[in-house]
Amino acid sequence: MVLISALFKQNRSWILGYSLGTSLYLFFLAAVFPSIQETGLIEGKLDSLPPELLEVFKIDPNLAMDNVINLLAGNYYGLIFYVLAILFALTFASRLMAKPVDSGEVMLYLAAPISRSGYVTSSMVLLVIASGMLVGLNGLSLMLANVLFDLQIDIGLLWALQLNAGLILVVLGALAYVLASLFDDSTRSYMVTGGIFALFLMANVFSGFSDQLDWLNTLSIFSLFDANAQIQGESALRSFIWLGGLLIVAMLLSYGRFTRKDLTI
Amino acid sequence: MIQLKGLTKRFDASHGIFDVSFTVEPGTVFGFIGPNGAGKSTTIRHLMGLLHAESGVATVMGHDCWNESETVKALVGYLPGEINYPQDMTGEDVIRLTRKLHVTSAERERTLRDVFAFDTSLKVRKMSKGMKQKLAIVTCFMKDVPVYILDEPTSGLDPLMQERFVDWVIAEKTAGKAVLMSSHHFPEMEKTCDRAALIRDGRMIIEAEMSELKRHSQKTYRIELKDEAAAMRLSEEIGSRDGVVVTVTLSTVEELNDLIHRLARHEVQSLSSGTDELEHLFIQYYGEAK
Repeated sequence: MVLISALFKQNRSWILGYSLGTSLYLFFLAAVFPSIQETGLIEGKLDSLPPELLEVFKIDPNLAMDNVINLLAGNYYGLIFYVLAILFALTFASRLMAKPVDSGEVMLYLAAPISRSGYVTSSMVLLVIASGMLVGLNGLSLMLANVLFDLQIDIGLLWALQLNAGLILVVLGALAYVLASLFDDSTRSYMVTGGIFALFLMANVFSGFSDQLDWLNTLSIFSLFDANAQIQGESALRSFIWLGGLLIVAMLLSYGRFTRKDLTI
Repeated sequence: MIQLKGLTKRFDASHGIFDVSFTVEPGTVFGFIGPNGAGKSTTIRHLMGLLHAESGVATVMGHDCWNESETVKALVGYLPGEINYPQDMTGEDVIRLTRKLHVTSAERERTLRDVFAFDTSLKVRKMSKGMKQKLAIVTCFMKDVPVYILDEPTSGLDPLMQERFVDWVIAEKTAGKAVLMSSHHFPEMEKTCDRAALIRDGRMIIEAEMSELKRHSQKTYRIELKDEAAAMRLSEEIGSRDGVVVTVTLSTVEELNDLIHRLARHEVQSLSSGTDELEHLFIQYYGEAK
């Protein structure tokens, strides 16, 4: 518990940065939604865009923009969220594994009677807290906007999306953590992890260019968060199971790797 | 207390530590001496459970340093060679966190803060090397534990603080603690250590009581005589000459007494000793390898 609170204190600035930044963005988007809906600006804009571009940004042209969640499905819960999730995971792994091990800062904790598995567990708890704060504050900001601007948001759907988004953050963070533990050099680990996540993103983007490239989407972890499908009533259970499985694998690999790793700090 | 038996860790064919063995008993300070890259920190990392040995064992009070590292770390105060606290933390933050992560003594903390006083409100990034070192010393000795492992503990400290540190270590030794100390600062080693080992290229080349090591070390004396003729006469008997200065290297007490008798026949202007005995021993052994 002491370690978790110490790690949180040391990392709260970036966690709050991501959480508050995205929540403010969502709140203001929700606040202006009624007025831009009245002008019909969104439909006009979407009609003018080529279908491939809509696909890249995960905007379903058949989805009526009569609700802020429908707008967010393409605006926020698509490419923006994927990039955000990559940056979030890289920051987490860099601050909790790559940089502290590379610089030797982790010795502050490892000189104490704390096992390495205890450090991994605390890191994972912090990841869950950080992801929970991000998606939780995002959800709360939309609920506040819903109350203030009468947006008719489907609260059940909103929190199902937040849960899916949170799971993506946790899984990406855990994968980045494992990859960071493979290297002693933080720059190299940052580049390799960033490169792999960029491939996920590219697979997701390129899959939208043509039907023949649809298969690419299955290679990407981001295929496990499809906001448009959820809005249209598809169950996210399969995604949750996959994400849960990936999380368990990533966590086991983290424990296995870090508890056996030689640390030259 | 601290025991290493045949500890071996190979990084490649020539790098690592090979068959390192020594014991540090309670109430003693063990000096671990060697040039940069000799394997001192690698050995210490095994004791802190950071590296896994290929063969051999490292134990602290009978607990295996790899398999029981949590228990070992509860028994050890550790001062790392590289002080790398998180840059955004203040000295006070680090001390407060140490209080939470370790079992510490409030009384020891108060005394340490007085003895090694510095501005704890500064962030680590703003601290000088000496301040960071004092912070590390305070956080290491806040723990009242039976074993201390100190890697280059006085690096960056001013002479006054070095003296205070020596006094602190001697007090810990008197209190029955086992101290393992690696250092390049020979005067503090000579003042504190009971036994010492010299490591070179990952292999221990000598381990003995300090008195024994001092006995085996050579000592250089620089004697300035009144004129060149006198210097020439003395250098014909002993040592080498450069102008009016004669340099003499001795290994034994007998040789020293012999020199004193010889000097009594000359008009000596000044007499100074060269490097410290331990430092000379270090140079002697390391020089052989070059």
